[in-house]
Formats: sequence, C-alpha cells, structure tokens
Amino acid sequence: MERISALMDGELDDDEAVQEFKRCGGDATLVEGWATYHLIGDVLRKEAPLGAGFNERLREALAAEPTVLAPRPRTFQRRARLFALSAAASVAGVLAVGWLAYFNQPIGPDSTGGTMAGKGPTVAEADASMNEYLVAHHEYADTASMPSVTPYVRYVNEIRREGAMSR
Amino acid sequence: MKAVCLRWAGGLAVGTALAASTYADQLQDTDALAWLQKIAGAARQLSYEGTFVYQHGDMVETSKIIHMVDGGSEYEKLSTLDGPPREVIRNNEEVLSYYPEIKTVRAEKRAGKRTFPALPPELLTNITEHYDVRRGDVERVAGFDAQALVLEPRDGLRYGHKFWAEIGSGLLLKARMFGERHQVIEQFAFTQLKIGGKISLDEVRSSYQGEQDKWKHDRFASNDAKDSDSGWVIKNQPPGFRKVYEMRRSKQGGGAQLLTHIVLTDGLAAVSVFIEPNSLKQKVNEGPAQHGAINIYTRLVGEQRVTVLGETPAATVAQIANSLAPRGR
Repeated sequence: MERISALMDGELDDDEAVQEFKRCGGDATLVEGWATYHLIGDVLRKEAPLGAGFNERLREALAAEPTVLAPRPRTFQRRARLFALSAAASVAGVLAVGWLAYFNQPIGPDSTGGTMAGKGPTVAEADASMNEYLVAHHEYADTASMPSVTPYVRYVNEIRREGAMSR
Repeated sequence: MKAVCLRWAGGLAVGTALAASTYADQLQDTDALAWLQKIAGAARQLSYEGTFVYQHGDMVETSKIIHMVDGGSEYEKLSTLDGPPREVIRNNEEVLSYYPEIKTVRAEKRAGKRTFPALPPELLTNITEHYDVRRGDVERVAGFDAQALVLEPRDGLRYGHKFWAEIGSGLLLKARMFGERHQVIEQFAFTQLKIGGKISLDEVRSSYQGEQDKWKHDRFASNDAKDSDSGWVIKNQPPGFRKVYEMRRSKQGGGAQLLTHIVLTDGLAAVSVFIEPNSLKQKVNEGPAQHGAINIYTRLVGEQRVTVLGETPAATVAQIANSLAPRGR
C-alpha cells in the first residue's frame, strides 16, 4: 500500500512505476488501494468524489465498448500515462500544502472547549423513562456513524438493562 | 478555499524545503485516513468470531460475537456472557432481540438502508474537518499486531477516539473514547478473536429458535418509521453535525401516540433528538442527566417533552436541546 501511495505521489522512477502498474493490474486489493487514495485526495481537496460504484460502472461501460483490434503504440502510451501521473502528483502536493495551511489556523480545542463547563459530580443518572430512548438511539445512531466492529456493540449492552422491569 | 490558496501562495515564497517537510506530514494523514477506510470496510466484509469487553462508566460487560459474510449478506449473532442473557441476531437490516427470561423476541427491520461497503466520502470529509486524524504506534491487542489511530477533536463539542486495527485485515480490535482531560469514557476491546475461517449458518442462528414460536413477538420497532419532516428545527446546530434520519415511530407497547426521532452525526459521534407530547402531564426532570458514556438533556417546549442524548460532551446535547423549536416560531 505504501508503494501505491508513492506511485500516486510520483516518487517512483519509470521502471518502478511500470512494475507497480503491473502489480496493480493483477491484485484487487492494490486496485482498491489506488481508488482509496484517490478518494481521500478528493476529500482532502473537497472535490466531489466519483461516488461508490464508479469503478464498476466504468468497467461495465468499457466492457460494452466495441473492441478495436489495432497494434498498440506501447511506448507512447506509457509515457503519456507517466506524464499524466506526475502532473497529478504535483497538483496533489500543492493542494496538500494548502490543506495543511488551512488546518494550521488556530481552531484548536481551546477556542470552544475552554468555555465548556466541566462535568460536575451532580449530574443525575438517567431515570427509567430514558430506557426506550436509549435503545432507539443505539439502534439508529450507531449505524449512522462510522461503522466500527459492529454497530450493535452498544445496543446489546443497552438491552441488558431492558427487560422485565420496563415491560 | 480561496483564502487557503492565498495562504499557500504566500507560503510558496518561504521556500520549497518547508513545503516538502509539511507535505511529508500530510502523507501521514493520508495513511491514517486510508486506515479509517480499511476499518470501515473490514467490519462488514470479514467473517470473524470472538469475545469482547465493553466498558463504560464503572460497568464492564462481556459479550460474544459471531459475524459471517456470505455472498454479500451479513449475519451476526451477539450474546451477552454476563448479566441477564440477551441475544441479538442480525441478518443485514433485520434485527431480532431475544429476552429469554420474559420470553419475548423483538423484531425490527430498519427503515433506512445503511449498509456501507466502506466509509462514505461525506463521512470522511466530516471526520477530517472536526478531528485531527493521525497514526499511532503498532501495538498488540488480543494477540494481534494492531495499528493505532488517534482522532483528536478540534473543538470541545465532541470526544476523542483511539482505534486499534488489526494490521492485516483492518478489523477493529479495540476502541476507546476519551474526554477533554483524556479520561477514558468508553472502551471496547476484543479479548479473544478468530478472523476468517468457515462459519456455518447454524452458528449465527438464535439459541432460542426452537422455543421462540411460543414467545411474545414484539413488532413495535420502526417498521412504521418513515423519513418525515417533524416540523422542528435546530436553530443553533453544533458545527459538523448533520441530520441523517428524521422519523416518526410508534412507542414501545403500542398506542397511537407517535414519537419524533431525529439523528445527527459528525461522522463519529451520534446524537438523537426525541420529541413527544407530554400528554399525561407527567413530571419531567428537566436539565442534564447521564448514562454511561451518554449525556442527556431534557426540556419542555410548550406541551412537548424534548430529549437530546448522545456520546458527546454535555455541552453539545444542551446546545441542541436549547435551540430546538417548532419551525416558524
């Protein structure tokens, strides 16, 4: 995966890049890695990403294209590909630095966190009327966020408390 | 973005050496984000079985999970190993919760389809805007080498997170949520785990399958929950949180009364808003409360009882609760 990153950033020389392309072609996880890094790049640059399933749609569209049987000018293709890559990498570099400059602005925890009241020991423990809300929250809310191991880790622990007494 | 470019143009004059070093730092972030993607995908795409502990407040609870993926379908069996026996059987969006001591099974088919093959781009954007994401060390968890990831919040409206992902597959082995003083608020960790291998359908079926026909079937849930406009607005929404669900659902135990449920997320932390008429004129405990890792804030708005809760600092739920109002008023 590190080499995919290096390839994207134009850090590999011509021979290494060609090697990496060959490796990519035969390995689904590397292809996926390539897509992931590009997606992350898009997100960092706040560009509209291509969206889920783009690769599949592209592949289907290409498969539907008629095949043209003609000799391939290989060297030219490779050069063009490498040129396009290094150009893309330079742009990515520029944007990455811009992104950093943006986030180095003082928006740290102190700006809003400082005003937050510390959680005192006097906060009440939720009463039984909250049970239904808590269960509903875990059913929906946990799947709305980043999926972790399973969205139901909190849920299964919440429903332990639910049972005879709340019914 | 224009301001960003201007800042960058100014920085160009300083020299390319500086740019090169910050670029290297940036690459670290890119790798950390790739890890987040990997974690999100692994949870859904891998078959595994193991035992985990979940700790929040002063509670420590142990459960067992069997997760099986077969031809794009997800099957999962979660069972508690301590306290009252509970079992959660999930097949994609369909969830069955078993309460053996009261012979009740609760069926729920979730309204919104939310199976992410990976982290959706908008969630990733949300996360990077409100958390500083970086890679930590490689550490050992449940006998596996794990890549640590640290997500530090950029403001006081959300908690920090640390994830440990199995280095080969990306499966989340341990996760910790921490507060503003870096105190642990909630923790999940596998103590024993097997990734991959053959899991049969029988292993993800309920242990109560034979007897469940005689049990009470509670089909309340959100079968009837639909995306709808509740007519309520959050006038002072905390930055980064956006609405992902807005629905009306029936109450537990039936009845004609409907409950409004709105869900907001910043990509990592979720907040639920519940609104229901206080028709019985019950006494409502207004103000803050808490439950484990969850902060709660309750308020009466006219005849409506408004409750906001989520895995966030108290300030976040209070801000939402205090700025909820019927539209146009």
